[in-house]
Amino acid sequence: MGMFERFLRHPVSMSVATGIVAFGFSVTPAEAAALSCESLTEQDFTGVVDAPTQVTAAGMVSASADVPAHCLVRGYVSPNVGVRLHLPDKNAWNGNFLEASLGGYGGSTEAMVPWCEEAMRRGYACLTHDTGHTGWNLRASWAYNNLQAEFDYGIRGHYVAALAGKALIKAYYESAPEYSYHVGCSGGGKQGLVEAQRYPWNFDGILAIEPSNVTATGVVIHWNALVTHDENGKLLFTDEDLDVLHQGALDACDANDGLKDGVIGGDPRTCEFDPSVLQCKSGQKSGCLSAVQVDAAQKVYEGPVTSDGEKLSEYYPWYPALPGSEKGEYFTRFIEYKESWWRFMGFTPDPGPSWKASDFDFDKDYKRMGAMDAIVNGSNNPDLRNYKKAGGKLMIVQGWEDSGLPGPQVTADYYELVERVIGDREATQDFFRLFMVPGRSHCHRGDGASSGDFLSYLENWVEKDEAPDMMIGYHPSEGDSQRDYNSSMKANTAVPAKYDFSRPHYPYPLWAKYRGTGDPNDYRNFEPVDPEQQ
Amino acid sequence: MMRGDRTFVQQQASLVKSNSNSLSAWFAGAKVTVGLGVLALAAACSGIDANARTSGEFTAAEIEACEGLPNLDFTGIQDAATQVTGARAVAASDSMRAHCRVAGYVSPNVEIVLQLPLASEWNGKFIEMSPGGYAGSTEVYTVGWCQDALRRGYACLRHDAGHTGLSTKTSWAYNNLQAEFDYGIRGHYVAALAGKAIIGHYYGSGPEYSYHFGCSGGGKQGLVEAQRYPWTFDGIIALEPSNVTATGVVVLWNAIVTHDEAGNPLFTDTDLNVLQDGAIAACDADDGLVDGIIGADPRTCDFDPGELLCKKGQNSGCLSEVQVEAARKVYEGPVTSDGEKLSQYFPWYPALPGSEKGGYFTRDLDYKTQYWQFMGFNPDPGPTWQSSDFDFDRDYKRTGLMDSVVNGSDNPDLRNFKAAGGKLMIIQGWEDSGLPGPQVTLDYYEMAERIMGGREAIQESVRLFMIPGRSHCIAGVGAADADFLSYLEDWVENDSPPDMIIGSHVEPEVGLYDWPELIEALDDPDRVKFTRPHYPYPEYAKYRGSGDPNDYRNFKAVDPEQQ
Repeated sequence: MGMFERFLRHPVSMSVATGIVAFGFSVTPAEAAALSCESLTEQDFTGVVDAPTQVTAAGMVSASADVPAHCLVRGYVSPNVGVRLHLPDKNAWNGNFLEASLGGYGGSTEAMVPWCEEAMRRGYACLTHDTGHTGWNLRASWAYNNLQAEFDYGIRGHYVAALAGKALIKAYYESAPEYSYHVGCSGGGKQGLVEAQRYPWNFDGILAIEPSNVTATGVVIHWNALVTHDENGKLLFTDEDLDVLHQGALDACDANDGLKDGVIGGDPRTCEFDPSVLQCKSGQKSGCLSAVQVDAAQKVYEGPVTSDGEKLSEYYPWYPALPGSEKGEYFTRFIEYKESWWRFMGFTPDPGPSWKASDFDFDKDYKRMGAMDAIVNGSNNPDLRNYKKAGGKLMIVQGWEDSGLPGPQVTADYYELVERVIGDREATQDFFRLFMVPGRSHCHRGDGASSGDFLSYLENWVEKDEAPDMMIGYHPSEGDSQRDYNSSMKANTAVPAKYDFSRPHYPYPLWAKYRGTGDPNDYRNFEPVDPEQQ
Repeated sequence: MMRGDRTFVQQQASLVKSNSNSLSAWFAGAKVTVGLGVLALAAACSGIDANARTSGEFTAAEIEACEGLPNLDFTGIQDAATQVTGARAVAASDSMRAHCRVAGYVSPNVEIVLQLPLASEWNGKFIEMSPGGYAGSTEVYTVGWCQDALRRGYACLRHDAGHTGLSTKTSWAYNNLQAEFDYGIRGHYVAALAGKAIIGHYYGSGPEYSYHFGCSGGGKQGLVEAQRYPWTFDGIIALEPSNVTATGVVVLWNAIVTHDEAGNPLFTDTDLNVLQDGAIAACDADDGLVDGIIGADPRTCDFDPGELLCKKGQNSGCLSEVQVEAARKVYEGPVTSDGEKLSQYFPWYPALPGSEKGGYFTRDLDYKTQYWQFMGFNPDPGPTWQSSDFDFDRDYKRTGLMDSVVNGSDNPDLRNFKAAGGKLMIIQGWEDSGLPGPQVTLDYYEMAERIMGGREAIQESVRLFMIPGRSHCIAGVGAADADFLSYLEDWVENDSPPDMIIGSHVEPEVGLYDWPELIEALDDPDRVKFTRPHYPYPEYAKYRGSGDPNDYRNFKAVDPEQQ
C-alpha cells in the first residue's frame, strides 16, 4: 500500500498533515510535533475511526500548587460523548494514557477531574468523559427512551472516548501512548469490565474498583430500601439501631480472621449471623432491636424473595448485602436512586416519571431485565480469554463491605466464573487478580485497611511484569484527607499520610489471617490463608 | 404414532449406548425387519399423529373471536406494546390446518404473524419460529415451519426481527440503533411476550409450554433467549446458531482468499470436488467407516491440501499451487500481515475439512460486505465501503461494540436458564457449509460446561449435538435431519432427555423452505437412505465394524475423554 492510500485509510493523519501545509509552516517533521495546545481546536478529528471527534476548546492551564501545567482539551465524540483531556507538558509526560471513567449515572466531565489531577501528578495524559450525556450523577431522566444515550452509557462512551484520547495524544505529542490504563469505581469500574470483555486491545491495564452491576443493584438496593422502611416510608432503623446491628454482626464474625479488630476479615459469606440474637428481651430498652427490625434485617441478609418464597439469590446476579455492611447507605437507603433507574433506564419502553418504587413487582420484574442489561450493564460475560491473549492486566479492588451493595458477591462470583472459563486459578491470575478488601466501603473508606497505592501495583504488573501477589492497604487516621468523600482517586492511588493500621490484601480467594503474635496494626504480622486448601 | 409409543421407542433407543443387545432383542421380538424398524423409528420421531393431519372447521363464534382481534387493545402488554393489524379465519386446506391468522406488530416495528389453531385442535403450547440471515420478513422459511407446527397442534408465531428487508441485505440497519437492538436482542423476546398474551386471551389460558425454534440467526436468537430471558421458553432448539462477529470476519476472509485480484473465483466446482474428496479421503475413516462422511471430530483430522497438488503432466483430479495455497488459507483462517492467526481469539475460528463445497467456504462476499457497510461498525461506513477496505490487521478489534447489540449471544453463563428449568438443544453440523459455526458453537458449549460445573451438570439443561456431514440448517452428505422438536418435547414435558438422536439422510434433498416435506420424508422408507445415531457432545458415533452401515444400530457412542 502506498503512502497516499495509507493516509486515506487514516484520515486523522491526513487532516493533521494538510492542516500544517495550509498554515504554510515550513517545518521539519520533528518540529511538526509541536502543535500548540490552542491549535488543537483547528484540527479535524472527525476522521478518528469509530470515534468522530470535535474539539470545542483547548488552552494551557498553568501549574498550581498540586497540579502540573497542562493543555486542557474539551470536546465530544459524535453524537454526544463529552470528553475532557488533560495533557501535561511534553517533558512532564510519562508517555502513558489514563482514562478515568465516571460512575453512578455519569453525565459530567467535571466529576472525575480530581482523578485526572492525581493522574497528572504521575505524569499521565488523562482523559475523563461524561458517558454520553449531560446529567446529574444520581438521576437518569436523560435515558428516558433514549437508546443511543443508554448505549453510550453502557457500552460505547468509554470506548470511543479512549479512541479520541489516543488520537489527540498522538496529534499533540506526535507519539502514541506507550501504555494505556482505564481506572474507575462503581459504574466506572463496570466500564473497565466492559473494556476487558469487549475491547481487549484497548487498554494494557484496567483497575476496576467496586464494579457495579446495575442489573443486580436495581433489584437488591430497591429491596433493601423497601424492607427497611415502614408503609409510610419511614426508616425502621435509627443510626443507633444500625450501630447495634452492625456490632451484632461484628460480634458474630469479627474473629473469623483470628483478630477482633472491628472489621470482618476472612470471607463474610461464611459468617453465620442471625440478627434475632439482638432482639430486645423483656424490659430491655437499648442495645437491642425490635421484632420488626430483626425481621427487616433478616430480609436484607436474605435478599429479595418472591411471594412464593423463592429466593432471587439463587439467580445471578441478585445477591444480598453481607454482614458488616449495615451502616452503608445501600443497606437501607438510596431508594430514589433506583427509582430513577426503573423509571428511565431498566425497562424498555421506560415507564417514565409516574412509576413509583412500590410498583416494582418482585415476583416478576427481575425477569424483565435481560433486554436493557445488554445495553446499560453489559458487563457479565466471564469470557476474558481475549483480554488475556492480548496481554492485558485486570485488577479488581472490591470491598467486602461495599456500603451494603450486592457488589461483593457479584464480583466474587464473576471472578470464579472467569476462572472456570480460563481453566484454573493460575492461568487466570496471569492476567486477572481480584482483591477483596475487608471492611472497605464503596470506592474507598470504611473501617478496614481500604486505602493504598493500588494503581502502582497495576503499573508494575503491566510495565515491569511484577504481578501483585500482595497489596498493602492502610486505614487512614482521623483527619487524613483520604477519609473525605471526594478523595476516592487518592485513596486508591496513594498511601495515606497518616494511618492507624495496615493489612496485606491477597489475590482472591486468599485472605489475610493474623499470625497470633506481633503488632496487629502491622501488615507483616498477617499471613495468607487459602480456603481451598483448608 | 402416539406419544406413549414414541416415548417407549426413545427409551429403547437410549439403550443403544448401555446395552445394545437388549435393543436388538426388542426388535427381534417385535419381528420387524431392520430396514422397517429404522423407518418405524423415523416415523415415531415425527411426533405427528397421521390421522390428525386434516382438521375441523371453524364455528361462527370462533370466526367472530378471531376476526375481532384487531378491535382489542393489546398496547398494554408489558414491555411489548402490540397492535393487531388484521386477523382472519383460514379454513383447512391440504397443506394447512384451519387456523386464525393474526398479523400485527410490537412497537416500534417488530412485525409478527401468529397462527392459532382451532381450540379443539390446540395442544396447549406455543412455539416461536425466528428467522435467520438478516431477517426482515415474516414470510421466509418460517412459514413452512409454522405449517408443520400447526399440524402438531401448536400456536405458532413468526416475526421479522424488527424491520422490513431482504434477508441477505442490511441497509435497514444503516445507523439505526433501535432496529439493530431489535434484531439482536429484543425482537424475538417481545414477539414472544405478544404471542403469549394473545394466546392467553384467545384460548382463555395458557400456553402450558413455550418453545423457541430457529436456525442460523434464528438459532442465535435462541441462545440470546437462554442467556438473557431464561424464563421465557421452556425449550429451545438452536440449529447452527450463527455468530455474526465470527462470520463477518471469517466468511469475508474465505471469500477474499479464494478469489483472485480481479474477483474471479480460483476454484471451479470441479476443483472444489477434488478438494473435498481429498479432505474426506484424509479424514473419513476416523469413525471406523469409509462412507463419504467425516464422522469423528474434524478438528483432529490432519489434512494438507498440498497432497492434491498437480504432479508434472497431471491435468485433472488435482489442484494448482495457487489453489492449494488458497485452500490452506481457508483452513488456517484469517491471519494478520504480521502472521498472527486470528483463530487464537474467540470467535474467529476457520472452516473445517469437509465443508469445501459449502456456500461459505468460497462465496457470499456480498452478504458480509453488507454486514460491514451497515451493521458491524458504528457509525456505519455505508454503501461506499468495499470488501477490500476490510483491514485484517485491525478491524477485528473494532467488532466489540456492535457485537453487544447485533450478536449478543456469547455469554456462556447459562446457570439462570438451568435454574429456571429450561432445556436447550443445540444442533450443529460439523460441515455447516464452510462457516466458523462448528468451532464457535463447540467452544461456547465447552465454556458453558465449565461454568456449569461439568458435563453431567450441563447436560441436565443443555445438550449439544454435533452432526457429521450436516450443512447449514438442513441436509448435507450425512444423516443430517431428524425431528428434533419431538426430542425436545419429550425432554421438557416427559423429563426424558435425548441421550441419542436418530438422524436420517433424506434424498432427494429437501430445502429449508419445505420443512413439512422434510418431516414427512423422515417417515418415507423410499427417501431415507441411511440413519446414524447422534449423541450429546463430546460423544460421537463409531461404526461397530459389522452390520449394515446404513442402520444407526450398528454404531456405538465413543467418549473421546475416556480414550
